[in-house]
Amino acid sequence: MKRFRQPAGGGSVRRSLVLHAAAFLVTLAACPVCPSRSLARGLTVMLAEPPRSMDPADQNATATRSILAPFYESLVRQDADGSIRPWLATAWSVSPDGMAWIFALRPGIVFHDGTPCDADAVVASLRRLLDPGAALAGAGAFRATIASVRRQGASVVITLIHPYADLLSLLSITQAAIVSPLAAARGTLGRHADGTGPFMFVDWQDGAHVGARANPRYWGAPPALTRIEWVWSSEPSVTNMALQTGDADAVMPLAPVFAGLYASGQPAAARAVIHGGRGAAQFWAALNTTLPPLDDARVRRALGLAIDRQALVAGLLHGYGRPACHALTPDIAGSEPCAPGQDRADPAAARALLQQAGLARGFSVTVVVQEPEEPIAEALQAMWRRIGVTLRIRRQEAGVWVQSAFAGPADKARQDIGMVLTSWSAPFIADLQLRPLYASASAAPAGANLGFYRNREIDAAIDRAARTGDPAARARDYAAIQDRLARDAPILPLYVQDNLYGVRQGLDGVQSLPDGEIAVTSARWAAP
Amino acid sequence: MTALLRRTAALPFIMLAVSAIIFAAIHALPGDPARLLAGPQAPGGVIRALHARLGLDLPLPTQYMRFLAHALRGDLGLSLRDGTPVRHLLATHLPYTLALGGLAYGLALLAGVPAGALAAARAGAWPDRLLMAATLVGSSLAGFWVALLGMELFAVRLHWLPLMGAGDWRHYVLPASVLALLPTALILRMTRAGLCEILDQDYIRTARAKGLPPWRIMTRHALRNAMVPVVTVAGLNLGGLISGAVVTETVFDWPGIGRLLVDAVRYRDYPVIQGVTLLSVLGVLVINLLAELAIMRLDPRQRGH
Repeated sequence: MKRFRQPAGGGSVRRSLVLHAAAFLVTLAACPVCPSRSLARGLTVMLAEPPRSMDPADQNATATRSILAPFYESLVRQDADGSIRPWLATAWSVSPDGMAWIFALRPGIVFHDGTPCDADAVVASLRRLLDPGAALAGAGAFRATIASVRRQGASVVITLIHPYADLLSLLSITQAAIVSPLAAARGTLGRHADGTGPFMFVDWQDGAHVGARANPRYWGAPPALTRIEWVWSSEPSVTNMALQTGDADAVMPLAPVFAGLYASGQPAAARAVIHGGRGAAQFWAALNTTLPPLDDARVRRALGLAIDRQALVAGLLHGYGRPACHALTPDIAGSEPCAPGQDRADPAAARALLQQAGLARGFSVTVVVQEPEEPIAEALQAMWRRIGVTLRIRRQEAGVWVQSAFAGPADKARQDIGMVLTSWSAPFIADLQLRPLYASASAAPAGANLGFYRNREIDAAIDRAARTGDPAARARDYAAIQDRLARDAPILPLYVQDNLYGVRQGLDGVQSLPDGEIAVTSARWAAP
Repeated sequence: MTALLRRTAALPFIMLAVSAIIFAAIHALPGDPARLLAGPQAPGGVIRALHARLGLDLPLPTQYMRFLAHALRGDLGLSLRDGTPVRHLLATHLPYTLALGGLAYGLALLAGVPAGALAAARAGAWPDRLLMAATLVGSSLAGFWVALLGMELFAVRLHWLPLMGAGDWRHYVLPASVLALLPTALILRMTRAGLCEILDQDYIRTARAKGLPPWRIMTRHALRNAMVPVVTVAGLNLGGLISGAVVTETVFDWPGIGRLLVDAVRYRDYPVIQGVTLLSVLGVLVINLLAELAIMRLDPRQRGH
């Protein structure tokens, strides 16, 4: 990439003018032959995995969402700070009983394929999401909440199964993006994105890239970029090298170990900038509450007390993260912070609890992990050794791990699986963090309550909080839930990892969203 | 020739047996494609609906018969992930793997045979010992590690070569070199071993006594006969090229069938795994046949068998 620097001071004004004019002429002459990247109009983004689908409703993956975001829009959008803003809907109101929501739509919008995005299209898109026959992978939370969708004049009415305070947040997520009814009917959405967003789908070559170009008919502010290309590599060191060579202009995620390199300002690293946005992915260990001795809450609490969360953040994340002590991640409204000292280990208290439980001589337990989380397990192994607990680590490939993690109580007992290590992300929606992980009805294999925790009071409190529109009442419920979960300790929260991403110098306007998505729609290159 | 015909005729039956084994093995893998597609956050109802949509709720024998019936018509099914025909995926990815593998093998032959001949001609002297040490290093280094090292040096530090992806010829240099490492070492060792044995034989001594120049003895008499074991082993090793391709293509983000296979296994995309493995097996069988054909041409004694 060629850059023209302003001549350093010292010369006369006239000479500097001449130099400026010369530089200007050279720039003019050089530009028609510059490669496209020097024109600073396009962008290559590298992610960790290939997209799963171009159909927003048929996926549940962060990397896929990053790719789909510029193609699609939803009724409302949620900013990085959690506030809800109008998008395809300009205004909305809710009935007094909280059951019916009416959305007024922005007029005159068309899909990329030319179909108008009117009330009929929005109704068709949302009904498709709810259709059991369509069996879309991302439909779960919507089918559990929304009873029906219909048109009312130029507006759309969404009727709920029960009141749901987080409906707007739910409608803002990628799975609820409004898709072209024509493309949906043709069945092409899996391979070819058709939305209303500022970028239009160009091509998807398996194992190579996804391409996009600016939508000339976009209703909002036109994007500064002319094209976006997404590539991917599962190898963190390749991702880091791509940022240094310029094969990628933006990469997400960047492994914490490389972030340190950029922070130290090494010469090769100076061409790129590293950012750490607050993440929402909480790492945790689910304890099998039906398998002795973990069926004793004192034993589970003892394990929690012996964890030095500060050390985990410093050692495994190189400081790019925050300790987590409670069920709700720190950015969700109603979440409780770690109490002073709670993020440090207290082995003496842990040993005392084990003694009460009759396990003064310790015990051993097996954890199943995937490769990326193995270092966490090794750190826990060392921390628990100090209280006499032996952690046996069983590392498994993704598919095998899913089978183990979601096994029922009998299977887990047979395979002696006492613990599962994983992460969960539900930015801003407390209900989507608590219900799947702690509600009795979500006990594996049906849901992600991997330790089979059952507590009727918690179930009732989760339902009550989700249905009330009163923020004070919700906050009370969520505080009570977190306190009770801290005492019962069905899972051990560990930490929340920052979303680390790197961009080439001169690239502005790239954002990371809490759920790990990289947003490049409003990115622009600074003038060279 | 009849032996060859017999073997060609057996091919369909071997493929049938192999397809059954592959089908059983793939479905014996733990892991549920629907769960992997929908993600851990999906409730049980969504998983059941996905099973029905993807036909995974049918009994295994029924699924196999369906697969077989379609495969006989040249239809390898649709990817579970996005519904792309597997045939189309293979057709778009295979050329990349063939190009990379062909280049790697060409490199291996071009480097391995002359180097092997040099080692044999100077057996025991320092060039021989140096080359033998190099083959030991070359065959024991992890391709993955060499690849990362090469990327760091030639792409990040020197900017001579592109880091990854497939485009012009410069994109081939690093992955093909990494992929060529193991076969080069193998071919070098086989060539040397074969030549060392042959150079001791009577007809070579006769040729020397006749006063033929050494290079002529090497190329006309010795090398031709020493090539038999080289071709045999090289032919067998082509199968190993596929496993090498999986690693190399993953590191270099090369859009070949190796990377396709890795992604397919990650998502338990059964039809794609079946398609890639069946194609690889077919490829290995055909290559072995061709290797036999080549041996028959090189060594007349083999033709009677």
